[in-house]
Amino acid sequence: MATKKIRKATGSLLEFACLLSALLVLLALCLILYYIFRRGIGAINIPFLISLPTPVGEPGGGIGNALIGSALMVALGSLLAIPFGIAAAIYLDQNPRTRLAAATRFANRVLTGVPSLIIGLFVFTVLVLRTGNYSALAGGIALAVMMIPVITLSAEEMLRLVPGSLREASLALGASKKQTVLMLILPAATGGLVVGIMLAVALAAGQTAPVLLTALTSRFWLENLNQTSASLPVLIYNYASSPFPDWQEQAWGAALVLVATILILNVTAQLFVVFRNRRH
Amino acid sequence: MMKRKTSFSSFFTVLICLAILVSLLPAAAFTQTRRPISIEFDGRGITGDVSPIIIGGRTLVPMRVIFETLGADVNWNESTRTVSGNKAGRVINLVIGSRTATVDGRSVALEQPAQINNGRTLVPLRFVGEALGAQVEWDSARAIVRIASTEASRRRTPVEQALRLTTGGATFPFPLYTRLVTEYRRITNPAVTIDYASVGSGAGIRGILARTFDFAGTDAHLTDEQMAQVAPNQILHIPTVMGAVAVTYNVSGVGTGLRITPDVLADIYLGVITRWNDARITALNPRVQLPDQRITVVRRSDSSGTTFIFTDYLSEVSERWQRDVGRATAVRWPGTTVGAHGNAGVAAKVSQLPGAIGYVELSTAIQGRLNMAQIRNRAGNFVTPSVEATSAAAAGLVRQMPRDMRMSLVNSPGPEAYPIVGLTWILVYRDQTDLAKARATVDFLRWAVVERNLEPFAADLHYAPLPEGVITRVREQLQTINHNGQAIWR
Repeated sequence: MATKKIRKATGSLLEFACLLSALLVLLALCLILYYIFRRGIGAINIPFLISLPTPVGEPGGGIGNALIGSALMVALGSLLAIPFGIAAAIYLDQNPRTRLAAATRFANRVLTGVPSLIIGLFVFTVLVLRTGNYSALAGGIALAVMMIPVITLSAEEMLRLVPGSLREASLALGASKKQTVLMLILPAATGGLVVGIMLAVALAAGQTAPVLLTALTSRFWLENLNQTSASLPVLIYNYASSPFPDWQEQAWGAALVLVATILILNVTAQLFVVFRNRRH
Repeated sequence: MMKRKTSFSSFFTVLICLAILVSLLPAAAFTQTRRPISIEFDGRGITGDVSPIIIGGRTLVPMRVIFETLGADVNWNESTRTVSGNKAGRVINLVIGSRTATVDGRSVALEQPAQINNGRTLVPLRFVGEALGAQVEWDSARAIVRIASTEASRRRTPVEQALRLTTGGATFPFPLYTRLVTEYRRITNPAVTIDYASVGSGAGIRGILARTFDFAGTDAHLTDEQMAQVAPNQILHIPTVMGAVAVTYNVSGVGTGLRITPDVLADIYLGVITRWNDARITALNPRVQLPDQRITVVRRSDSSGTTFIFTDYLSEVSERWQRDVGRATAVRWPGTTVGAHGNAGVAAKVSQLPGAIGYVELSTAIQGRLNMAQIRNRAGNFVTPSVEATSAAAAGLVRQMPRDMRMSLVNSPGPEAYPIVGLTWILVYRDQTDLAKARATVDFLRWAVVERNLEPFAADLHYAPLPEGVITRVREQLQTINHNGQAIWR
């Protein structure tokens, strides 16, 4: 009787602790969002979103080129990372016990733990120093290097969630391996894959060091991928540490734009998954 | 007799003819120089119903031609016989026959007055043009008066195709450079876009050595080891402006202007003096009530040109600092210190921590209305940092400037000099590999430094302009920049 009571008490205590932790995490997120919103909303208007930065002392000025630069480099990173990441995940799912699979898994786990600065330095050394040229292209490649392990590992998990019975049924019905992967496993795992990809996109969009070391920054419009490019995180970094109040305010505005974009992307992805699951 | 009479009359005729000729000579001479004079405005020819004339070495033109060309309103007052022109609020008045004109009410002496000729009012061209903000040039060989509007005279065309230069480095002059490159881009056609990334002096130096930057900004000149990485005299140091580093503090009850000597400053940063009411500080400030508070030393955590100037100064005034710490963009700080990122970071840390002392560039201190210490200079005077005190520091040291312009401005002997002052440089290769980039680089530096176009921007941001002697040296340095042995400067 007594042990039952203690068990119950422990249970509810732990439950409470979990709830409290969950609330704390949520509270932290809400506080960050609230603070960024309060500080940043004053800076945001249409000209801010579409114009070039102005020099110190000149009024106005915006983050147009940084928005485009960030969007372009993240898109480029995704374009390179998604096919590689998904393909690697399919290999890992199909051949889970080979030595190559173990090595790939290990390499990807290590890569996720490498500081983004090191990845930036790697691309800087391999690309920028070789060509003598900072470029948006190098920035996209650095972001792709950051994204690949995140996509690969999460995609493998998602593919593994597709039940073995389904795969066996497919093969039993005479479908080839290729057909099974393309028409059964991938569609069944799409929701999870999208979530993994969004996670990687959000990670890439917020990176400062890899972009600063490869695409540098710019105060002008991007005309081609071989030029230096502005990006939101680098702009925030520069403006936040400047002594000028108007730049500091713009840093808050840019931070709000960045956070809001990532939030909207994530919410959209989640809604997409929910919607898909309901249809099935 | 007849013969004689004839000879006399012929003599008389010749005499008369000669007299007439002589009397006509000046007129002939005058008509000879009276080639038609043409006027060009920003390269376009301008025609009036009466052509310009030269009187007494001055060109006079019909008033309507010049005023309307320059976009000014013109009025004629018959009763006072006054021509008045008005352009964007600037009013000039000329009275016919008067050698005095007025510009916005100020009197200006004229060599030739406005006059009426053949029923037309003629006004002196150069005076009117320049009073209305245009540039007037006389091409005597082709008899052309060239007028350039201010807008057009500022246009520059260093290259044939639009061009982008990738540059970067020092954070300290970054605000100034953003304004300069924006202005330079506006006046170059085709546009020269110079992208300056604020990545710090250290990254700027690495960038120029690795040739990833077309030119670089730095507050710390290259060391001899760094110079040895490239061919001798290959990298030029072009100074642009000078700046001061202010010592700021947050001591309860103490306002701006605390007096500090070099040895006290060094000992605070060395951790020898640890409390604000230390006898050595109170002795300097007998009228200030200093609290018994621990001194918190704030320093930059990032690699910084401001740190270089500050530690350069401490090395100059303290043997122990020179021996134990030295000068660099980042040093191993002795004692207990608090690190902060950027000038703004140091400013924020100092204002948050009671008892804190820190160093920031002058514009940060002024913008943030921070307390600034008066530092005793070499002449023994306590000086508050300012643009003037920065200029005074340079005046005392220019004569000792080395050929390559790698020099320190700290601890200047001038009586009015603030002692913690530094130059900021642009590093550029003497032998350029890309002709178009070389032309844009030289033209930009010439426009900004040699032609002093950076000075109005610099004053706004509390940087001090370079002394004349340094600008002459900059010109000489820029003239050595070449592409395949061909000098770029024209």
